[in-house]
Amino acid sequence: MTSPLLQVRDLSVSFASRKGQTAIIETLSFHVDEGETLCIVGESGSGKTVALMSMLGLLDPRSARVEGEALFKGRNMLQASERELQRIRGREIALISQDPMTALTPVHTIGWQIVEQIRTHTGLSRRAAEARALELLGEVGIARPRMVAEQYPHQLSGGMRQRVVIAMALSCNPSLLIADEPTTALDVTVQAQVLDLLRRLRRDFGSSIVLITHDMGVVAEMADRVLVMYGGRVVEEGQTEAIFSDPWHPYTWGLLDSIPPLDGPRPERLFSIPGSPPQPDRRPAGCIFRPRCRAALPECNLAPPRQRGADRNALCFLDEGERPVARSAARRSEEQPA
Amino acid sequence: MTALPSATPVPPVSGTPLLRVENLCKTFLLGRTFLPGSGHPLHAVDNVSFDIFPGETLGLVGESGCGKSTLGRCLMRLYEVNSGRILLDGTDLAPLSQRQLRPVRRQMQMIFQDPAASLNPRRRVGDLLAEPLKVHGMGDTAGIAKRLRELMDIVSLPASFLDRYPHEFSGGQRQRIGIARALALNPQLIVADEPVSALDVSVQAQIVNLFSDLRRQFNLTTLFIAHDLSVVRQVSERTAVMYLGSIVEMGPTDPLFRKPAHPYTQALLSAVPVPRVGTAARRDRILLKGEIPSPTHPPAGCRFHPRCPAAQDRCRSERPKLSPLADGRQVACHFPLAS
Repeated sequence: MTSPLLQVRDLSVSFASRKGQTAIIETLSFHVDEGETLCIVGESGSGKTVALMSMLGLLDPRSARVEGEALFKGRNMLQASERELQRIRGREIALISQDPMTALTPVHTIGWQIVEQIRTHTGLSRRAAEARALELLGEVGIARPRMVAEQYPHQLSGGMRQRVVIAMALSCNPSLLIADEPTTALDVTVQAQVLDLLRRLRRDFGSSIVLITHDMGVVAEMADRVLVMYGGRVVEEGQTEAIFSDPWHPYTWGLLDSIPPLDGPRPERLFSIPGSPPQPDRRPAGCIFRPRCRAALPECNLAPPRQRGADRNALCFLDEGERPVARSAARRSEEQPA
Repeated sequence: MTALPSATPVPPVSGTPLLRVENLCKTFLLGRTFLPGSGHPLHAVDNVSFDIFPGETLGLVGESGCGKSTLGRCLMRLYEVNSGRILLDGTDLAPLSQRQLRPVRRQMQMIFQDPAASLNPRRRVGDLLAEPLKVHGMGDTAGIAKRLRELMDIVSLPASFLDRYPHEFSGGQRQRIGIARALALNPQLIVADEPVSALDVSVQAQIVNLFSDLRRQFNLTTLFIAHDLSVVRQVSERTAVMYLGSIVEMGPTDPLFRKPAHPYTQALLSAVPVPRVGTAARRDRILLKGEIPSPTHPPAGCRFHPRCPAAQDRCRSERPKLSPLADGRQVACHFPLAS
């Protein structure tokens, strides 16, 4: 295998707060290969968005402290100058945010915004950029590109806006596409269209995709590999197939088991994870998931080791032999309501 | 999850409904000026009829803009209805004045989507929960205090939380408070409008389980409005699917999810990504073209025909009525899928 497109090593991010530095992300390491779709799963507050913002240099250096390295095509993004970052952002790494409305300017037409982006990053003439913009709008499945190009963001529906943002993200053929909850604000039938579009783009353009989501259904459909984050750390990482067929971390069990099934018998109660995710400044010592874990052991007060297997790992004390027993015990504990 | 036999009680199909909705219509006028007759009508709820039987949970699903929340608010009379009847235990609520509605409000309560927005941030949880009891003159100071502790117990929160303010709680805890407030008056009917969609995934299951527990404990009758199909399947005995202001399919939950009769229900179900990989995940995906048309300019004939993969000429001109199928469910389609 060649070296990965993006290699993040020991990324830590902390923010200045009234109580001093609050760690949001602690020693995060992962990589994205060429042409791969990596899904990052986690709840609000797990640090998934902050991790990406820090790599793209989008955090305010006056309040955020970023350590570690993020090598994109061998260059460390965390050391890059603002000028270098500007060249990378939008051109080599494109971002699709959750809310397309905030990614678009309300005061300019769609066409103007795409043309601006193209001309910032390439030497195309206005006329050529306009032609390219229309082409892109067509590629993301907009039926009348010419009409949409003359419209303003507020005149479009949520699904259309998200397509426009995707068109913009693709305008410079980025090698890495970061999509931060791109379908959370959309209806299921529109979500299906957007996911279909992302899959097609990956096939046609060969971009790598980092998809941030909390929906395990979306993960199953899109991901080659999965990164599960909880409380600012990667608690589990592995190939999609492996994560779904044999999850290692109790948090991943919870995520998978708490989803009500769409077919088959209906369980009387859903498996639930008790409590709620901790605030960054109130994370417990030892294993961060311990207070909510149905398989917690006395030693979980200490920092858990990383269990490793072929192409995967999990941050947990449970080893291979203990896992099946612990998981069925955890499931049983749900059946007796508290 | 162990494959327990479906534990939900058999739907009480017979008997008198607790809530009967007949031909309910709600039209908003957009862009209205002082000129009489101006404005463009938006038929948010268009001739909707259904029943909810005592102890039953009816799930109402649909995409944004289909009118499901408007329908819920009409039932609560938070919106004035244009026509139709809302019979709660035989009394028509539609023509009642706000003053006449007061005593009826004890019988029906609503749970809102965003518990952060629906709880007054400047009042303590205890005051929030006591308010409905005071308004309806239920109990003296000691009685109310006892009831508050009971309510906190029902939603599994410690009684010490009564002295705290809403911002001190997590989303899941706040929604529990919202549920406790709705239960305070022992209502006959609960309308829950997207009660879990604002919550973190790991917390959603807790609240879904709470709904199951409450139904068993208090024999609650609930209209459960949500866009998440798997959540609706988990909590409801019967499910109604809405599209552009009308119910397109309604029936017992299990058969409806197993073999949808309306092409929209089928497409909606097939669009939900399933958390499985490999062969277990293989399903036929029906990718709908386009988006929901604007309800101000609904298509002629069947409102679903521009996106329907099976549309025929008749669908473009004639609007199908909700009519019963052999297996007891109702569907508004000229060519229902074979069940």
